[in-house]
Amino acid sequence: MAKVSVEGVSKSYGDVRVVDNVSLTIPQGEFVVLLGPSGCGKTTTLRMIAGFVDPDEGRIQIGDEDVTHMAPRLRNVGMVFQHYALFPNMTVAENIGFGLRQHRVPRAETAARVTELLALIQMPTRGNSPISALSGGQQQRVALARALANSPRVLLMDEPLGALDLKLRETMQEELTRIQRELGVTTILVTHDQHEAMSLADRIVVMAHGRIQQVGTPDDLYMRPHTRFVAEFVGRNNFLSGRLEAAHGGEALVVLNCGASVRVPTRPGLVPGMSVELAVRPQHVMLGAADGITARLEERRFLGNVVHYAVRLPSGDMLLMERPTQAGLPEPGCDVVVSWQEDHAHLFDMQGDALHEA
Amino acid sequence: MRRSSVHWERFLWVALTISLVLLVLPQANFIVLSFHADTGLGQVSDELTLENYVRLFIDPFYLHAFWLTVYLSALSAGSALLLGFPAAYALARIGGWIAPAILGLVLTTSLITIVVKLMGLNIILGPLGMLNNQAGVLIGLVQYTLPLIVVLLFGVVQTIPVALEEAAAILGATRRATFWRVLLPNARPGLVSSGLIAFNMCMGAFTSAVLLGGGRVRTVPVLIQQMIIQDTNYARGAALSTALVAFVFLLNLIVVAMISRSSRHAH
Amino acid sequence: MRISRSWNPMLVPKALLVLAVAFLLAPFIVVLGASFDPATEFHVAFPPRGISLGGYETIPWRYAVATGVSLLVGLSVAVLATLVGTAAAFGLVRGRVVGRETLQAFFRLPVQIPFVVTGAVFLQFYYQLAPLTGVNLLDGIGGLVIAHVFVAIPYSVGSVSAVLARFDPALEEAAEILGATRWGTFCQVTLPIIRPGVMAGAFYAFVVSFGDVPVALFLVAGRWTTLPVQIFQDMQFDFRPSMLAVSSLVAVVSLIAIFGVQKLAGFEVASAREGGKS
Repeated sequence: MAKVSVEGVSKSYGDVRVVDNVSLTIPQGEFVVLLGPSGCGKTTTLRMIAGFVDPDEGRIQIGDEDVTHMAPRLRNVGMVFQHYALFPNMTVAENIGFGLRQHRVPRAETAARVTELLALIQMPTRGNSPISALSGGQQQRVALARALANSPRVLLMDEPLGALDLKLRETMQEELTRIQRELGVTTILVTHDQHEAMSLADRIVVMAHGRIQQVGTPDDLYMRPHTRFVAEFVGRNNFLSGRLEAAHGGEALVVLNCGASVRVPTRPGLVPGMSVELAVRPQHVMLGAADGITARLEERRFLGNVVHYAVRLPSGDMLLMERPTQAGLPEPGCDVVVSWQEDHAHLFDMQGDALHEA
Repeated sequence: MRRSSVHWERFLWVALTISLVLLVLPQANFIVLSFHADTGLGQVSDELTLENYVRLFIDPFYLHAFWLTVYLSALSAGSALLLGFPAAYALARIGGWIAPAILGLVLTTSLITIVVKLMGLNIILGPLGMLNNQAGVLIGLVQYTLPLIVVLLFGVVQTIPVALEEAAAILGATRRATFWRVLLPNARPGLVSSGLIAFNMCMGAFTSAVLLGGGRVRTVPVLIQQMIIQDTNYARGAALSTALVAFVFLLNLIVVAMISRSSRHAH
Repeated sequence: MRISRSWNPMLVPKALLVLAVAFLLAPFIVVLGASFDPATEFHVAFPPRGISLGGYETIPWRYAVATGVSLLVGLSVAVLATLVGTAAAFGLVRGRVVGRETLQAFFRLPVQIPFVVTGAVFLQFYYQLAPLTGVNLLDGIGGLVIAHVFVAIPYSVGSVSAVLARFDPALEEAAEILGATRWGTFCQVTLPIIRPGVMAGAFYAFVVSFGDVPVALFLVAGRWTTLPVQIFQDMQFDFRPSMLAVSSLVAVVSLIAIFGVQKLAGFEVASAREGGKS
């Protein structure tokens, strides 16, 4: 097991800077998820750590070793590919044992290790099956076993659960967590699915446009987003434009477009008059408080245990609300008063940077 | 150790060089030869002349040979399409495991050396009086091209979903209307390209023409062999060969141009 | 509104299918049947008036020799064409090349030239080459093999290109990261997976070479005559029952060989036709 450190790594394809000065340190044994939309550079970063892509700038270290330009097969890294890439001309056991054979491990030892891994992925009887006979979930597990066979110091995974249906995905997520905890191997997984990231990761690295937006634990990202992007990407959020009227200490007064004035916690030293965006999550918006914003309830949708409301503010902006289902909820068409707890809102400047306490 | 990238292009250059040498050197030599005059007994003079080519345009013997070749090729390509299209259609719609099996059988007949087929045709056509004449050659050419036509058109029909025909039927179209309005227009590009392929094959077909035509049906390929092997008129044979290749190439260009113009008008 | 269905709409196509298949199979059946006819002269009878192996017993030795020659040539052509074609395919599919489509068209050229012309072209070329280099390629099978390789390369290029294009690059990356060297990856992963395409190309190269008449007619003679040319030449003179026997044998053995090779090498005849036959 080893730590991974990425320092100032960049990669361009033609004019496009796909990875832009990315730096990251992953301690030994941690499960890190690179999260972001397509094209954000997460896969390229992963492939640079694997060695399939050569960084233009920067350094990559695994353990104490500088591996920046080292060939993949020398890095002692395991990888699970997006569509598994299992060798169709070999059986399950032959696939799993492939890495061991490349390192000239004696046959008896290889066979024992393969048996061990088959048990780990809970497929002890499928050693002689051809790959074509396996279901998607089984292929995924074999791919994992194959990647772990060489006892790699780092495990890399490129959207490994993407091709599975929902129920299977959830089961596999639990499996992955269990295996990772048991082996303690440093793991880096790439995904665009934030729910997957939240359920698997010790820490999440949110990326967009080739840059790191924020690194933190799942609840860090959720509660204290550093950028507008993170606020929008992780969980759901409403965004209301406005102007900073006054700032004092750790609090500011913001006048929203709809005319209402609200207080928001901020960091000190803000200049009044700047344009801002206020973010508040649907589940934090409440109904019926004494002082709030009057708005018209336009749409209501029952989703089982929660109800979604679409509320139109005087400025014309829409606000999404999520409340637990209960009796006596208002009907669409009537006016309501909406408000939220002061510290449930976040403020961002027009460049997307957070204005609250870091 | 740095990761090395394999320069796959290098393999291409080697293969390309070999192929170029095999293509260019012999062909160039051949074409140069065609610009000389035969002096009998396989010898050629040293001076350059266009006479061999001029003769092809003037002498009715050669004009007739070209005409005959085109006529037979077009007729047999057309016949192969006429027979092969419905057959391929039936196969494509039958599907299942039978279709590939029959397709494999059909293809296999074209993989077995052609002389065996021609021997059988010889036996069949003799009593029918279709031997040593154009009718026999025609049958032989169709035998030559039909397997490939069926395979190609099978692929073409497969790209036309059954749903299209079913939609037409539900909208009230008769089978004939479905054929002319739905099937044919969609299959037309495939039909044209397959037809061209068959035509080209027939233009160059030698063995069928010789064995079923008895040497009397003088298509250009038959003439070429006669001129070179029997008459040892190497230069004239070279000119005729080059003319054949150029002629077929030009014909293809014209047809393709005509087709693309008509499809542009259709839009 | 009723849709008139007074006759089966698939009747005509199916009938024509039967006709086409019968048309294509008829010559073989006739040859096979007539080969058993107990005739001792050149008169051919079908259906056979009896069953006799007379034709098979009187096969002249020269046919066996010719078969040997054809096999030797065919195998040589298959090997050489596969080597060149596979190299070309790797370069075309994986290399960084300009004008890839033009190059692909170039590799399809040989098949588009009539075989008669190819035969004549190479004949003249070897004539010119003999006095210049002292090597007479018309003596023996060397010249024929080269000419056949020229014609067969497109099949190999097309077949291997097709499998290579479908090949998932992640497979090679997976092998690499598991510790395999480039060569190890090629041998353990790439080659086994593209094998059907390579074998299909080799197969077609062999078939084209073995069955060819025009090119061989120009380039070999005497004791190096190939089997099809031998049959061709004999057909122009007279029919002997032995010829029917030889042809039947060729047909049956070819059929068995084709199916056998398919099973062994793992490809389908019908799908291997991506080779670019003109």
